[in-house]
Amino acid sequence: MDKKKILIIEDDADTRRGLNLRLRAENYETFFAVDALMAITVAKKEMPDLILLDLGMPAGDGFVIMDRLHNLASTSAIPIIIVSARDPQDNRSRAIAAGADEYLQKPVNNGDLIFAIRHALGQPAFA
Amino acid sequence: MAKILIVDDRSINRQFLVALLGYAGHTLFEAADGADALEVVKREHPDLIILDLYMPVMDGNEVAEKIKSDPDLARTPIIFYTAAYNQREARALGGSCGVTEFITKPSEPAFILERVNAVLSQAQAPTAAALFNGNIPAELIALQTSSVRLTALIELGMELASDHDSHEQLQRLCLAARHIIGAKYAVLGILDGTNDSLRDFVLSGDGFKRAPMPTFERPKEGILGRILDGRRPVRVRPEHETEPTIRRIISGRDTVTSFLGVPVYTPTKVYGWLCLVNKVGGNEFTVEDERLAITLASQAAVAYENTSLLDENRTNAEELDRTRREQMTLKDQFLSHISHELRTPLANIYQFVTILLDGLGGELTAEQSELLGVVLANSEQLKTMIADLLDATRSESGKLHLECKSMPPAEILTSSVRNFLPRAADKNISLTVDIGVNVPDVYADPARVRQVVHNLIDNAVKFTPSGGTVCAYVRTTDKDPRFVYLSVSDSGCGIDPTSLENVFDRLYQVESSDDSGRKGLGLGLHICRQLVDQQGGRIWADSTPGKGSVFTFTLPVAGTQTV
Repeated sequence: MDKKKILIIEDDADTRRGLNLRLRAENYETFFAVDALMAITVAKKEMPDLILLDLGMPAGDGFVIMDRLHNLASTSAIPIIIVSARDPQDNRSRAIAAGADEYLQKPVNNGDLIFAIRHALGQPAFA
Repeated sequence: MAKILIVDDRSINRQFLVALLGYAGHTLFEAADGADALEVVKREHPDLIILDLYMPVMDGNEVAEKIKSDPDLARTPIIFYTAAYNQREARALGGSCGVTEFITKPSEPAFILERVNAVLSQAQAPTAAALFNGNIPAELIALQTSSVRLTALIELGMELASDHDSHEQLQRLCLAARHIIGAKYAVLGILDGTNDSLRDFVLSGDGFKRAPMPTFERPKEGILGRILDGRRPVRVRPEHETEPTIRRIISGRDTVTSFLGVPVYTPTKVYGWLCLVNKVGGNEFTVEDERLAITLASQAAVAYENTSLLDENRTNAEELDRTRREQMTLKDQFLSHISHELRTPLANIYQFVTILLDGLGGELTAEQSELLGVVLANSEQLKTMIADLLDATRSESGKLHLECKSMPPAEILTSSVRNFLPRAADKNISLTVDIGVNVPDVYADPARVRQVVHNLIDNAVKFTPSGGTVCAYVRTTDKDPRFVYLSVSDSGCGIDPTSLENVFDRLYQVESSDDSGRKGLGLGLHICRQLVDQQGGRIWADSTPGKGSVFTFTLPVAGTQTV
């Protein structure tokens, strides 16, 4: 069975590295983008099964990126999980309303992260 | 019985009094304005006049003066009929023209009849003139005049001391000055601090009380300049009214035959001038008039200063409040930003430690695992502290966001207890949960309830020594069926009675019983109280020092919430 592909859009290098280790250990294939422009380019090229999106990105707010992804025919169906250090109180409902599948607050418990990824991918909750 | 004249510009008021007093057997006459009233008085010589104070063109006060100044009519008793909120001014004005009886609108008919009868029977009593066989000692008259003027001054002072619009105050002052001193006109000018114009101007005199206020140019010219610079009064006799400024002081409404001007000033500042024009009775103003004018002017100055300060204060207070609110918003934004920044490195610490602990970075020795466990626990604490910090500061501006719904409380208790079992086992503490029977669902925010329960169990475990017990339980009571009671009890060191309320205060810290030396931020219970309060419940503690404590909070049963 092909591994599921996850695109991680995150500007912090350590966060990227940590997620990379985690997700590869869970048998996912990972791709990265460090800013908005790269995010769209990589998404169109790699066509991931899921996108993990950090909200506070330079050169393009996470909401703008999500908007662009939804407006592109090729990427509009890809589920998006937002992972952000921002307060859920202010941003969660806005994110869901804008089409995100889930909103996770950093620091994310790994169990919660994997659970949310599996759910968004339609995989069973426990391997 | 008696002949009574009712003077009031509103026919409904007249009708009421005419009907009432007519029923009592008196003969009634009516007038709708001052001029009419005077005619009726001259014609009918009533035994009593009930006089409305506030009428257009000629008010009750002027009517009263005219009556008093006519020797034929001067002895007619007059009752002022006035609205309650004008009482003090009515008394001041009444004092100045010898009217001492008042009826306020509205009044009970019985009261009106009683006053009317009292005044009428008083009038039957021998007058001072009759007593003295027409020779009233001059001293007595002077005494009475002085006491009347004094009363009027006192009333005016009290009136000025109350909180009024400053222009209104100055108008009252001019009116009072005219009546107390006995002048046809009073003119008051308050200077604008920056230039040669007036910021406030009052011209008071017969007949044009309600006309729009004219302006007055060049307020520092001529004789007015002398008054301001010299800070001394000026009295001018009739034949010396050639000074041009005096001629224009009443804006050409009349010829000026006598003039008295005094400065309006306090030790700190000269505010302007008060001028009295045309002494009633045709003579010149006296030394005593001058003294009275000075007294009134100083009252005006103080009142004006007070009102200006009050206005300044109010503006400052409003500005301060606005600044404070802006600062609160800035503070919230600042804290939000800070906590955001803190979360990223915290997340990375957590992630890499768990990566190592999960063996993804290679195999670990037992000791390495244990040491990493310490790092993890500390980073968990850091995470809680940051969240608490944000919660505590945000709750002050009332923006704690709750997503309430109907939920079963038992599940939260059991899962929270489960989370603490390892820690309790480490300390050899027995940790149990009792979810009761038939406990109804509550209306609350599950995440927040979890936060409160977590906090209470955390404290309980922290403050219970080895070998002790902690129990979390839920119950309902017949006494208060609208709420569900959740409690966490422990066998720890307890809390002394004087601190029982204070434990929920912000930043209240106590040493924990283990050797960690940790106090936490001291925000936890404070936040718990905010959260419980906001969900419509209560939280409190009971304790016996040395034996243990029970922390209890209530949540509304689903379907009964009032929030």
